[in-house]
Amino acid sequence: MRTKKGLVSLLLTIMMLGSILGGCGSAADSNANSQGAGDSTKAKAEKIVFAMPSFNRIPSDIGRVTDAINAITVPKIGVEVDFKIFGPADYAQKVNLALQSGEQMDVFTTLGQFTSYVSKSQLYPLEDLLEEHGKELLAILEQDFGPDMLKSTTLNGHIYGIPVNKGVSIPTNFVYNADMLKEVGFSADDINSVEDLPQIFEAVKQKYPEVIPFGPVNVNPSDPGLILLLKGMYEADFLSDTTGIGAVIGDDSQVLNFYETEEFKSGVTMMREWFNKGYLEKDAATTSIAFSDMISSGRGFSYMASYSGLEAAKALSAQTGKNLEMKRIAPYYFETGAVNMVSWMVSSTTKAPEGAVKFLNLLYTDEELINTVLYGIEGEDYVKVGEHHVKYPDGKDASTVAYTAMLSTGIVGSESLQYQLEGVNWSDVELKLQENKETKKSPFFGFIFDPSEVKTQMSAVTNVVNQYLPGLVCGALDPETTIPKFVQALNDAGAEAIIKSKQEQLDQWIAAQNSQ
Amino acid sequence: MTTTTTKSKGPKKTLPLLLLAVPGLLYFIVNSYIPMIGIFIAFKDINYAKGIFRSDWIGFDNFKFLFQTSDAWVMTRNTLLYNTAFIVLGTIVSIIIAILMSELLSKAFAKVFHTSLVLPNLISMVVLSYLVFAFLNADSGFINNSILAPLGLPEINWYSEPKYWPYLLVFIQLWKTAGYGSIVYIAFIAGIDKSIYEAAKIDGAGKLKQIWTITLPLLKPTIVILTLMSIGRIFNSDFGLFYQVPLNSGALYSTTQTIDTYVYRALMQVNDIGMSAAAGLYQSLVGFILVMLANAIVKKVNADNALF
Amino acid sequence: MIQSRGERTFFGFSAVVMGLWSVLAFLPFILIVVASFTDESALIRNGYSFFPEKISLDAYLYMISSSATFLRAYGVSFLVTILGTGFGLLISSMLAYPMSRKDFKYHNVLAFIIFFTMLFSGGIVPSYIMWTKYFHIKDTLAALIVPNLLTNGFYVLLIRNYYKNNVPGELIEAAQIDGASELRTFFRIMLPLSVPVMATVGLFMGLAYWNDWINALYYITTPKYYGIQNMLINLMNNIQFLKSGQASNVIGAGALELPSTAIRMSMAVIGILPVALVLPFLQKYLTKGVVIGAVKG
Repeated sequence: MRTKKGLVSLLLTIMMLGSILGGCGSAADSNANSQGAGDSTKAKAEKIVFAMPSFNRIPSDIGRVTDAINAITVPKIGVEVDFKIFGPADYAQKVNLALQSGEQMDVFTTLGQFTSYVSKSQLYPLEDLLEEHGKELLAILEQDFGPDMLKSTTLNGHIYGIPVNKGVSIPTNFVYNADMLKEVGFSADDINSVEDLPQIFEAVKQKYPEVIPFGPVNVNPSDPGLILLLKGMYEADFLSDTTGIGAVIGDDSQVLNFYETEEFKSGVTMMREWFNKGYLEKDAATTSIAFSDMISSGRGFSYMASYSGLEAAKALSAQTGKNLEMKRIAPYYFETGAVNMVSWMVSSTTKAPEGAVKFLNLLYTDEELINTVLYGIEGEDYVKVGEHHVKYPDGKDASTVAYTAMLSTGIVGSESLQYQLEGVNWSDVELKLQENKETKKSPFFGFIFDPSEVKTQMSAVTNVVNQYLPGLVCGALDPETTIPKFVQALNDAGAEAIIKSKQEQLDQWIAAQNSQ
Repeated sequence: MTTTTTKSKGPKKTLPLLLLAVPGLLYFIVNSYIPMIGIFIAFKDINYAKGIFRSDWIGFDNFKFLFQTSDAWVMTRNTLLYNTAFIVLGTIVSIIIAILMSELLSKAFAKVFHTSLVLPNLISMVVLSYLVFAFLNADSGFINNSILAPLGLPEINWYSEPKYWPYLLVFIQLWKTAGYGSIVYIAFIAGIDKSIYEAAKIDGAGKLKQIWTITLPLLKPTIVILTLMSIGRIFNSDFGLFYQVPLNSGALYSTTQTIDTYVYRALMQVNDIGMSAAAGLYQSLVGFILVMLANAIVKKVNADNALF
Repeated sequence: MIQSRGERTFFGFSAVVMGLWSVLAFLPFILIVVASFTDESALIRNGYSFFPEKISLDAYLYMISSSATFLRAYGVSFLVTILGTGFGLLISSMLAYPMSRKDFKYHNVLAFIIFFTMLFSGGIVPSYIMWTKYFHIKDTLAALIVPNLLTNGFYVLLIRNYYKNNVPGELIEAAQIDGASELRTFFRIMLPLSVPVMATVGLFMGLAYWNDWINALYYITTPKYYGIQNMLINLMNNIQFLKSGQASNVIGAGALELPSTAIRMSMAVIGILPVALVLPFLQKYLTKGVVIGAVKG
């Protein structure tokens, strides 16, 4: 009896406190509602949430820019945009939480996770709406890339995303300290392929014993750009993921474990030689110092990385304070994942799919909208200095200007309509678009692998790749003894099941292509 | 006697105490218990078109990736052994520090010592990994260049030699957390009635004897409780310590891979909330079973010291 | 107070050991401070050194220039730490008190309920849905204070243990015989007699709030409410991304020369320094010895 009474009073208190807390909550809610009401008096516009990653400083208040965006979108397409910007580390987390919890999140992008969103059914199929509201968008993709761009985001006949429209061909370049190269008696003409590099490293090592000739472009995990080099050299297609388990080489539709191939072995054997000759640091596979920092401190000479166009070295020189140049040493190869790497998507839970597509259409084709999103408001945040060029207002720079998302130029809309900062050659933009059309496509371009059948194996295999790959590509591990162990561990983790599943899906995809 | 106490325990006595507990209890219900509904995600094949609640049940499929790997044994062994070492050594070192610190309480320089207990804990694992790298890196590291080389010893490739890492990681963990951990014991020692020590002194007990017969026995309930709570998390590990500090070096997996680092590495590509929920549930369940066992044993010996 | 020889020896021994420990604890921190003032190139060429070859303020200048909201972020962190710790201590100790009373019927049930939350969690998605949809805390200061940090099982059980073992039960009985209510007993006897444990738990809570960046990652979408840790982490992540090879494919030209290692060190300094300055003032509360003998007699 007494216990019951105690429990009842406990429950009562909980309810009371709950209603108090709830009361606070609903007060805040009605607040939000009244704000919303104020906004909607403008026009009966469809409201969408548009989230963009920015690598610049994010200002506390972007309301000004949101208003400028709406001043374009509301009259033109009747869509009101709730503009959100997140830093690169927060972006995926915040977007995913919104998607998973059913919060409104209509238009968003990804850096390399397109397949993951597709396989979890998080995306809205866009093909019908694009026909109706996206004609200009389809036209500009055709004009800047060629006919097949949307194949990279199409699964079972549904278009699930729109790749960012820019120079997506990023061939492997050898980036080096040009002053040092000259000092050791070589010139850019001596560099044509990866085979030309060891003699230069040797010369650098002889002349500057303190300098490390070569290092990984990315650290943690270390990546010297070898895999991309091999993909370009041997036309390897990793079939829409990055694990390397289940790849095809050239026109052959036989799915393989890339780490079992001769091509991989020759690549890591080369790195091993470089490592043994002391061209790389002993801790290259685990170092936490990015090699661009080594170069700017004068302790590093070169690295390999992928860049579109021919002018990236200008920016790199400015970044490192050294005179850097770059030279292409391998072509690029279009696999599905290379083109859909950065894609804009509409969530499957959206309540405003039409508005979202209308907005995307504008985001790729409206010069004013694109540049407002990137550079803010003319006169306040930037000044125009030519047809294609802008600069910051006097006395301001990227970190002090009130708003800029300039570093997101490679993520938003169409590069051909974006303003460039003063000093960038417009011809380089034209060249990048030209190369979009000339870069060789994999015969399996457009194939998207659905990993949901083999999730367990994928996870175990990812762990194994993490364990062995950085050491192999940096030459820290001996390929002769390590590759067999690596392959064995992959097979133990279920690599064969993944390859089998990929082969089945690929065969089906090929059959479907042929029947069309 | 017993009857009178039970009588006085009426609602009059229970209710006010219950009321005091309500705000905190409510917080735990809202912050912890309601979200626990999410545990079911571990048994679902999440498909957002169907929604989280309507996704298909798949039994224990999400748990498979924890066992279908040759690393399953290694990561379980490492997690257990490291945690055991941390619990045992951490407790001993913390208590020693606490007893020594309590000796110095009144002095001005105790403030400096005291700050030194917390300071290591404030340095993030990422920054710490930079410092450790400065000591250990093969080409220009302090240990290879300034200690091993002058002694004529061969240099060591620290980041590819797994055998050194159990000692390194235990040392780093103790350096970072033992001082911090000792603060609890310092507080509990401060709470010991000083008159007990005075009485012992009059009886001629020396410092060591006082520690042995007064301080340690009075700390025992705290030691037991803290150990029980650590046992609950024996399948969890500090991700920063095992991932950042060894710089994610593949060559070191045999002694640095723990369940948490495995889950992180394995799910990087697949990125599945069902599988990460499964891993969390597995860790919690094992911890829970072990704590229930340990608590039952403690209860048998002395019910007062048990956690609940 | 007269000390015996044995006591003096023990005291000396303690001072020496703690002195050594302090050196071990302080040196790395000093190294971080020095590194934050070292020229980036010198740092990479020569590694870390207590006596840098070239001193530079670049790291601090960069951080201040790229963040107009530095002071604001400090303010947010301070406010959140103080409010969270104060409120958290109150509800934790109020909850711990009944649990410490063996004559309270539900003391073990409560302990189990609290301990259970230390082990099991439903993950971020359900928490997020609840806090944002039903409590509407998104983009409010409450989002930085309430979820997860306000209290946890560890704090509550620690306080309970102190009440149980270090505050004599006779005191409570005596108070109640005098007719004091439970509320009064708690505020007049329990709280004053448990300063060391309150200070300890307060320190832990305060540090947890000061160092937290997760709540803002989940629940804050406007930089207005970013505390110092979020600001530092965002800055660092941006730099790291801009340095990576991937960046050049995604971003346009015009990136700056960024001293990344020195910046990381200066961030550590900016995050730690306020705490290191406050710590010595806390010490006297942590070790405030209590003489109960007199009360008891």
